Amino acid sequence: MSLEKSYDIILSPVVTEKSTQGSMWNQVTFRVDPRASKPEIKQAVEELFKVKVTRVNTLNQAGKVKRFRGRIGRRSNVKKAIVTLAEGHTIDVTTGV
Amino acid sequence: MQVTETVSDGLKREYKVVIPAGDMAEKFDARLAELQRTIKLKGFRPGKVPVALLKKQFGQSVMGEVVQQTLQDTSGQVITEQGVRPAMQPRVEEMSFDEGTDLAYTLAIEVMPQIETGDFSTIEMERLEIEVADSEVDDAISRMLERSKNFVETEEGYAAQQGDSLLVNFAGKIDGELFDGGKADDQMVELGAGRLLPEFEAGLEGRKAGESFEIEVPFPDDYGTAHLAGKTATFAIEVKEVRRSEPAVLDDEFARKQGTEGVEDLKAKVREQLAREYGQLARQRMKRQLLDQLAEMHDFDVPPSLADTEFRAIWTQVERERGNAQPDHDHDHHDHEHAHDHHDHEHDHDHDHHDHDHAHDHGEAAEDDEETAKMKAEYRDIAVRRVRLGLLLSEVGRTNNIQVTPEDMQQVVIERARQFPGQEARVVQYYQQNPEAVQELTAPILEDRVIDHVLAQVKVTQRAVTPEEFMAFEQEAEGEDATDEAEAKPAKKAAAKKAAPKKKAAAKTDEASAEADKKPKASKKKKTEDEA
Repeated sequence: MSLEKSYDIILSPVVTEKSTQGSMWNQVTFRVDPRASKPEIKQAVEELFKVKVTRVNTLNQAGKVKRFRGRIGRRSNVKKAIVTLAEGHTIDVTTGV
Repeated sequence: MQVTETVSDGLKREYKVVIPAGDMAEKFDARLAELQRTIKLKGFRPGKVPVALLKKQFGQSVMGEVVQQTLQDTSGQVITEQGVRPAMQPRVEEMSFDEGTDLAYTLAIEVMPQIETGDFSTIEMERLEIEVADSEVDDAISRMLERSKNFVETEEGYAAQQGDSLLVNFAGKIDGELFDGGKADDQMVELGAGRLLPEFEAGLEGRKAGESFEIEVPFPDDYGTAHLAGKTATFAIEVKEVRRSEPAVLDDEFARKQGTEGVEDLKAKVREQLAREYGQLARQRMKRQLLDQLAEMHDFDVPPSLADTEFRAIWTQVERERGNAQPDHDHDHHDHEHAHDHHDHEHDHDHDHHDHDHAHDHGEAAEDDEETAKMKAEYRDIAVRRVRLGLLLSEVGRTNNIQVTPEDMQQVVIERARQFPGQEARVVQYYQQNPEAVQELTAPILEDRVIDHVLAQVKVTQRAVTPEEFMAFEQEAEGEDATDEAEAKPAKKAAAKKAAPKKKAAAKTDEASAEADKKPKASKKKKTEDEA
């Protein structure tokens, strides 16, 4: 997979209280392209961060319907991937790529 | 913390301060922990942000903050530990720090000199008691009488004399042409008051009401208005009324008009007033002498930075005065002219500007440079002396615990407000909002107190003199040392910005210098002017 494509798949890290808890099991969380598959994500992460990924869990978070001044709006859907890294590998989430 | 003294030269001190990396890290972590409790970050509940994350995101700025804080704390600590009193804000130099290394810096301080107040009781001084002579009281009263002279209408046929006043219409022509400002109706002219050209006044003398006549008036060559100077104008004059001046008589009625109970009371009050004025003069003189003596008695090094500040203050003032000198001259003309001619504003204004530029062109001549250097040296001496006296006075004040109480402050503010009738509330408000302004007011009080304190210890001999003798003394003193007066205008509290009026300024006491002179009166005056 080309580097460009990897950048397209991994959108941004998720930095929240919950996501940082994943560090206990060597897990990192990313927002990813909703169309990306687990193997694609695995490959992208390995390529971008030069780490070994043992497992990828994903979830789709459907955007909420929000009303603003009576008008209906919709937040975009988000796919997150919780990536488990092989022992000894780390990703510094805040430094970016 | 490690402190080593590297320089100790005169009043200069330099310390090398080293703070071990461990201490710094500790402080850094403590600050981070504190931050963690309070910071709000998206995605985290308050207080639940991991420290590692904080360190990554805010580490740099927090570190800067910690270093700053440490510098402040430690420099303060160094100062107390070394037992020095800095004259100015200490400077931090050659700071070096990186995460994981020791924080090292050099602290440069100018210390206050050790002031040993001399034995004041060795000072001998003379207190001049100025006696108010009866003749002076009489003089003052006759001046009052003169001022309150009445003009009474006269019967027909009365010829105007010196001191009388005439109501006239006049129209002046030069070469048969009316000129600007040469015409006026119902103008009061007082003979002998010198407000108009002497020839003009002379032409009116001996005239009676109802007369019409023409007189020729030559304008002097140096007349203020250029296009009139040296010309001769013909004034057609119509005298409408002649009023005889009636000198006011000193009687109980006059006394009552002046707000007193009777002639005796008036005399007593005038005498009192004079005595008060002389008392102030005498006190000023004494203060000046005392300061002179103090300056002679004490000789200690003055922190250069303080002297510099003082010098700069003086110098800017001098420069401004210099710049003002020319227009000032013009100003006189201006006034002069005003009396003659009320309508020439426009022209006069131009005149002013012109001259101003002129002054600039010539003022920057090369020979000035040498002069300037000399003056600078002179003023530097004055600055040093002033700072020294200021320090000395504040030291005396400190050691003897002389202070200005809040009540005193209140009183000066009220007094100040009284000087601006009709605006009292605004003045008081101004001072409430500007504590520094009050500071300026109270500084002279404190200074006065200190002077009193010193005076109390000084050997004083009394001597009664007449006002004339006193004036003679004054002149003598001025002649002896021209700069004396300038210097003697005492410095205020030590480091406070003080600008005593310079000699020239004192002589002129014109607005420009009064403004520059940072004494409260001036600033206050300025303020009201601005508001007006």
